[in-house]
Amino acid sequence: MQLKDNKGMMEAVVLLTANLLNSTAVLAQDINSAKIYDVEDDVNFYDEAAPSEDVLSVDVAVVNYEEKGRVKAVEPMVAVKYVNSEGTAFTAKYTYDTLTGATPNGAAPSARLQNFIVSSVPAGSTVTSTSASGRTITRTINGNDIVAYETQPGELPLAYGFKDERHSLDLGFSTDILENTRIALGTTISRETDYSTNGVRASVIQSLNNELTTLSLGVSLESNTSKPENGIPAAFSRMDGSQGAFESLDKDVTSVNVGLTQVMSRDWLLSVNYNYGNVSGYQSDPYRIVSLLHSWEGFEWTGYPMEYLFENRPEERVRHSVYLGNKIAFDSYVLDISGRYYTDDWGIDSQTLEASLHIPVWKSIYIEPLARIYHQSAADFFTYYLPASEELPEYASADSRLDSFDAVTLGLRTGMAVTDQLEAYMMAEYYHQQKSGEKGVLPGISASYDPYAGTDAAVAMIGLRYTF
Amino acid sequence: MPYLKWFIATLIVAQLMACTTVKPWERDVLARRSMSLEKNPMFLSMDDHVYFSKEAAAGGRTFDGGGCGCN
Repeated sequence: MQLKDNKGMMEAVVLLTANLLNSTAVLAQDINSAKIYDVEDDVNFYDEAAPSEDVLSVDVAVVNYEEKGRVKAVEPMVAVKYVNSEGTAFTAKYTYDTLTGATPNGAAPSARLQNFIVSSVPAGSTVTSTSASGRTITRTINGNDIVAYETQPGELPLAYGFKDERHSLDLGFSTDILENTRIALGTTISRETDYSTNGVRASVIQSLNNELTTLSLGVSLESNTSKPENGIPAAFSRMDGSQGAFESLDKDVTSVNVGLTQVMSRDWLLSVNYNYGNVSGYQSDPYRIVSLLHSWEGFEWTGYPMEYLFENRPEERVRHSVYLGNKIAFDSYVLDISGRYYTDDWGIDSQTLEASLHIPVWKSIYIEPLARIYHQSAADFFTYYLPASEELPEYASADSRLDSFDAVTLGLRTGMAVTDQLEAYMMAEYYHQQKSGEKGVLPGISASYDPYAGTDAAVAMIGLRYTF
Repeated sequence: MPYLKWFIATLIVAQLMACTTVKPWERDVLARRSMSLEKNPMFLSMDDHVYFSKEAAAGGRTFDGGGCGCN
């Protein structure tokens, strides 16, 4: 995340997208001679068995993600999968993300103009002066360049000039080691401007009961490093633009997954997973703050922000989730219905229910409407503000992702076999979050403002898969 | 939505009681593209990425961890 002019980045994205579309066009030329799918066949393409061996497929896709008035992201992806004649599979996927826009900084809305200082450096050494949105301003005060942004009275404070990019590469390999036993190995590398991830994973998959039952046991280890440009602030330190106390801090994630896939009937496939996650290390958001509000009753200025303090989250987190997924065929229609229960020791419980229906259309198309509902309770230390009249708690965060909320997703996916080797696919989803439970109340003069910072987002993807 | 928890628990119990035997030659439907657990992995990975960046819960269908600093 940087406060820089993002024109160069946008040009890069446009170029990348153009290249992607260009390569798609070349691919399309290559398959001109291929057979148009299903000219004489009565069976829908998606009712046929996919080739499982000796097959090479390449996916190119672009995602556009846009939050209402906030973050925008463009994400081109390329994925390759090769399965040889022995069933050994190799996968590779490269993803490029670029994010721009505004994101809530954690501070509460206020009855007065709020000023947030991002950095303070000796005059003349400032690299950036204005964000893409024009909302960030630089002033020279007492020999220092102060970079700051403002939030108007009553508005939810958003950090403007938010910008980031990410390169991610995932490699996978799986092969049979015994007649009914398979291993899967993988690695992930991800690099952002201010964050890096390295991960490895390994699973053993055992078929039982004439392949009606599949058991799997997997372990994943992930090492993350957070390295913001201005350093990592100490817990509850003031947001005054000074350099953070730490250059970088690490976080490790250990995850164990136990899975069962069961053929329940000729038309019904069930999968059940239990997932254990242990997260250890720096888990705060180095950019996120909490308002310290004047909270003594009876004053004209009760509710005014006195300071903005950087948040502090626990360094340990243990997570458990149970997932249940079903695929049930009704003739050529397939109902996919799944649920997940999640709990962690930060006090968050969550339930998710998702359903989609695969509907065949003509001989080579499917459409798939989907709906998802999600609920989570708030983390024990979640708060909209810190009252100045009380001692600071051990932990506090105003991140809306740790708040209690409900979310609904409605979407439509579709796929089309253009030829017997080329598949085109698209999806569009709308995601809506809303506060669950009692509405948050700010003290004094800010009492009329809603501090909930949830979002709405629209997501769209378009892609092509070519199978050689 | 506290009722969701009970709905999911009921589904699990009902399904574990319903196991039947399917012969190898009866697996034609299960082999279809439309019945694959990952019919289009690109869709699934995109959804996982969005939800990981906007919600506190993670894991379940796949491993915990998200491979990015978005949460």
